[in-house]
Formats: sequence, C-alpha cells, structure tokens
Amino acid sequence: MANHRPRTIRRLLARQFIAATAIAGLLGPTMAGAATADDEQIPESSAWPSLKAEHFGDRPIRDGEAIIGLDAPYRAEDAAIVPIAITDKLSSDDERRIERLWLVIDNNPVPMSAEFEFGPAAASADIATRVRVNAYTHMRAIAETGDGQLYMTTRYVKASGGCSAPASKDPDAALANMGQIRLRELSGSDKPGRRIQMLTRHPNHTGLQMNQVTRLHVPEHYVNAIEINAGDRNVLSATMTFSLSENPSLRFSYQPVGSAPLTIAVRDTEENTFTAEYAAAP
Amino acid sequence: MKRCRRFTPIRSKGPRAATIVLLLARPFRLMAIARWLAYRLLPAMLMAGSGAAGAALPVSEVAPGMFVHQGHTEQARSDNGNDIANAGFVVGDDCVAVIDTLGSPALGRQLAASVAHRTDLPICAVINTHVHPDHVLGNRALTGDDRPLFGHEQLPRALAARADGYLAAANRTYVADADTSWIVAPTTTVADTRRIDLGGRTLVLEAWPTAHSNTDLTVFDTGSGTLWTGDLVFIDRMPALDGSINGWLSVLDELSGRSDVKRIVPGHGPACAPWPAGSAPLRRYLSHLRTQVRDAIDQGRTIEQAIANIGYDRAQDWPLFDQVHRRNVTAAFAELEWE
Repeated sequence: MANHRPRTIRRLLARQFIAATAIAGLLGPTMAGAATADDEQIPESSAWPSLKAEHFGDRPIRDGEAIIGLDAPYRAEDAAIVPIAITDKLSSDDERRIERLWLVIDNNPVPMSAEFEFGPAAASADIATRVRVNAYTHMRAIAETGDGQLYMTTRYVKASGGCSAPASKDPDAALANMGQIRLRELSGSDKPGRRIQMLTRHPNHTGLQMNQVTRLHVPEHYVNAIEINAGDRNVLSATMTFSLSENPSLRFSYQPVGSAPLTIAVRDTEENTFTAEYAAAP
Repeated sequence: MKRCRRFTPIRSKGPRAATIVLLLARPFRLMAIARWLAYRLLPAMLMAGSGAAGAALPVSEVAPGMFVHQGHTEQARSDNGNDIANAGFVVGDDCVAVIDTLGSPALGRQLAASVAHRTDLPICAVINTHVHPDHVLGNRALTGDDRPLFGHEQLPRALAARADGYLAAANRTYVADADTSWIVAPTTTVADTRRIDLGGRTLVLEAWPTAHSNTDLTVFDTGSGTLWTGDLVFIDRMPALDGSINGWLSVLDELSGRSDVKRIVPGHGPACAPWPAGSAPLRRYLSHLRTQVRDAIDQGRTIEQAIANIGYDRAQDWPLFDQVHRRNVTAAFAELEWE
C-alpha cells in the first residue's frame, strides 16, 4: 500500500508527478484543442496498469457495477471539494459481504487515496467523502468481498477550468480550529442502520505547496487514519491521504450496539490524535 | 468620459452564429484554424496597424484619468483568450497604477499598450485584486524593473498553491503555451491598508478577511470616490464563491455603509456602477443561497442533495449560472455545516 510507504518516497513520487504534468502542459495545442468539446471520448488511463500491478498484483479484478456503485460528478465544479459516494449494492440476503474498499484516483499525486476495512458493526459498505482532483482522471472504487474476490467500478471526472483549483479556500481557518470533530445523523436512507456524517477540521496540507516567503515547501500534514467503534465493536478502520479535501468529511452507516455511543479516533501525519463520541438519539 | 448609469441587469444572450458553426463542425481542424487565426494572424495585423504601442485593448474613461477595460461575459475560451475580467489603470500627475493584469501575458501586454496609448507617464505600481487567473496571469507583462506589484498578504501562498491547476486549465481551455513564467507573485503584500501616491492622486489599498477569496484587496481612488472592488462585486455575471459566504456578505455590508464610496469598478460587468445599488443583486443571490444551504443542513441533507436541488430558481437572473452555481453550493455547504 502506498499508505504504508515511508514519507520521503511518497513525496518524491508526488514531485515526479508534478514534473510530468508540467511537461504534459507544454505539449500543447492538440491536447488543448481536443479537450474543448464535451462529448469527447474518455481516454484510457495510462496510470492504471502499473497502479493495479503495484497494489493488487496479478489478482483478477471483475467488473463491479452490480456490486459497488460510485457516484462522482463527470465535471467537478470545485476541484478542491469533489463529493463522491460509494454504494454497497449487495442485497441483505446475499451471502457475500464487502469487507474492504479502496478508492483510487489515477492522476492524483498519491493515487491510492483511501482504504476502508469494515467491522461487524458496519451496517453496509456505503461510504461517502470529498476529494481533491488534480487533473482529468479516472476514479475507482474497488471492493473485496468475504470470498476474496475483487470488484471494480470506474468513473471519469473532469476537473473544471477557470478559478477552480484543488487548493484550500482558507488554510489558516482550518489550522486554527484543527481537530474539531462534528457528527450529525443524516436523513432519508431506506437502508438498515444509521447514517452518520463525520467532519474533522484539518488543513490536510499536501506538502507540495511552496511558501513564497520562506522558499520552503509547506510540510505535508494531513489526516491519515480514522477508526470508528460502536461500543466494543468495530464499525470501520480507514487510512487515507491528502487526496481527501481540507476538513475531511466521511459518511458511513452503522448498527447501534445497545445504547453504547460511537467512539471516533482521528490521527494525522504529525501523530496528533483527535477523539469524539456520539450518542445517537434513540 | 463615461458616466455610471443607473444599473440595469442584462439577460444572457444565446450563442453567436460563429460559435454554433464551430460547435457543429466537429471540430478539431476548424478549432485549430480558428485558434491559429486568433493567436498568430490577428495580433500581427493589429500590431502592424497600431505601430510601436502594439495592440491596445479598448478602455473607457470612467472618471478623469481612470480607465477600465471590460472583459467578455463568457467562460475562458480559445476565442476570447481569457479576456473575461475587468482591469484598468489610474493616471496621476507623476505616474500610473495598473489594477489587475487580465488572464494571460498577451492580454497584459495589450493592457500596457492601452496605458501607453493614453499617457506618456510611467507605470509605478501594479495591483492584483485577488488570486484568480483571469485577473493575475498577465502579471509577467506588466512587472519587472523593480516595479512594485501589490497584493493581499495571502496572495503569494494562494498563488503558489493554485499555480499548477491554473496553468493546466489555461492549457486545456485557451492557450497552448502557459508555463510557470506566467506565475508572478506580489513583491509588496498588504495586511491591512496601504497608500500609493501617484502625484496629486492617492490610492488606498485595503486587504479584506476571507470573502470572495482569501486574497481580496480593494483599491480606493480618494479623489473621485471610486472603489475598485475586484471580484468582491460581480454584476451581470454569475458570482463565484471561492472563500467564505459569511465573510463575503459581511464585507459587502461594511462596504455598503461607506459614505465616501460614490461608485465602483466591479471585477466583472460594467466599467462602473453606482454604489451601493450595484451590489444589490449579488447580495440577494448570496443571502438566498445561504438561507437555503442552512435549511438543507438543518434537515440532515447531504452535500450532493444540496448541489442537485438548491437555488436553481435564480438561474434566469445570471449569465453563466450553470457553470458556477454548483460550485457555489458546494463551497457554501462545506463552510456552513460548521456553524
């Protein structure tokens, strides 16, 4: 997993990525011209074959449209906040269960953007979050079911032009209130379990921005792990990268365990841990 | 001299015939020819026609010695070269201040030519009203030779964080040669206020808390009572929220109470507009958006539901509504869910 790689390597990879996009930018008119029509063909992903080999080896990955849904806007109006939702499509009487999920954004600096592992208190593998999109890219939700099979659903997302950029709107405000966690219960789901949105105040710095005054790179500083339990039963454990937007948002479903509250622990790359509890209304 | 008439909203026009032909003509060869015409042939012809000053952008004089270029009410495209924002200059007894540099070095050069066309005085200050590419990507053409470039204290950091995205978008949508030389950060940053003396004429720069963006800087010409708002005010063009909806509304409240401001030069729209009347449609849009997003959050709705449902009853009020409104709902939701 890219998640487990030492920091320096990850940063090096990210810099290479930036160099590559800069060169691609210089390649000029054919690219610019081809991208102006909206009905263009979606290109093949040049990044995916090596990503697949790196993270999944030679394991077969089947088409996942019947197992796992991925809602992402075709055109990302705000490249810094692109809402995506992964839907568990297995019916409740299906013997299989989704146990792990990966979110891959092919053309982001660290494509392996998040990994989720579901525990016994998860009501489903439904997950929603908000991500940054660095360039036109394929986005993938890959699910592993209990029988060890992999299933993948893919979407193509265009980051919008103009003033949209995958950068913070107000990094100082996010930093000043870092570690605040807000939980709210969402309405309107026909699935079993309770649907919760969890927000964490955090700048989620990518570590790639040059500070023009000091000429130093802002060090990377982002939320990299979240663990959620209901009483003594695990709902989910997740690891993630700065592909998630500033003030990371996570939506999930869980089965209450008696009257025990949800407990949440959020960790970041500076080894800070932020915690919260949520006692759902009966 | 152009007077600021009473503000009347315009309706968006349908696509022009030439655009339709280009869209229908499936499209690449024609697009390439059009781009070549626009970027190689036309500037060459204009240069030949106007002599040493080069191709000057059209400007109108909205107060004595104050000139404004109006951008197109369009998205950045190859046929407009990202000429979509207002910019201009103010002439004192000794020298000239240029306010915003437009969306490419080519446009910046044309703006410099407009200055040379109107006055022999040198440019002694260049000001960026905020970070967005349609206002600052001409910096390279107007700076250098120790000429100060003023910007909000957050501008260097914001520009560095966004540079890659802006250049990639430029190369996708309106040019082929955008590179890092287009990114020129301010040499002098403003944390609160700063006065610039042009000789018998004083400009007051004022940095604002996060509002339209986190880099908003206004320029007040004390003599004429004219405030250059940058994108703190949009008129006849869909406003884009890239900062804080609460911050933006509160800055507009404060500016609306200023009795020394007689009129404004907005970041988009007419060359000038009466104040505070010119901000009324913008404030209505933002207030309405805020109310509806707060309601959605209170009702336990998701951000996707909010984006799909909120505010479309105002679509007919604004040109370019569709492209920008979804982003505004997204940004407002991500801010207001912390209230």
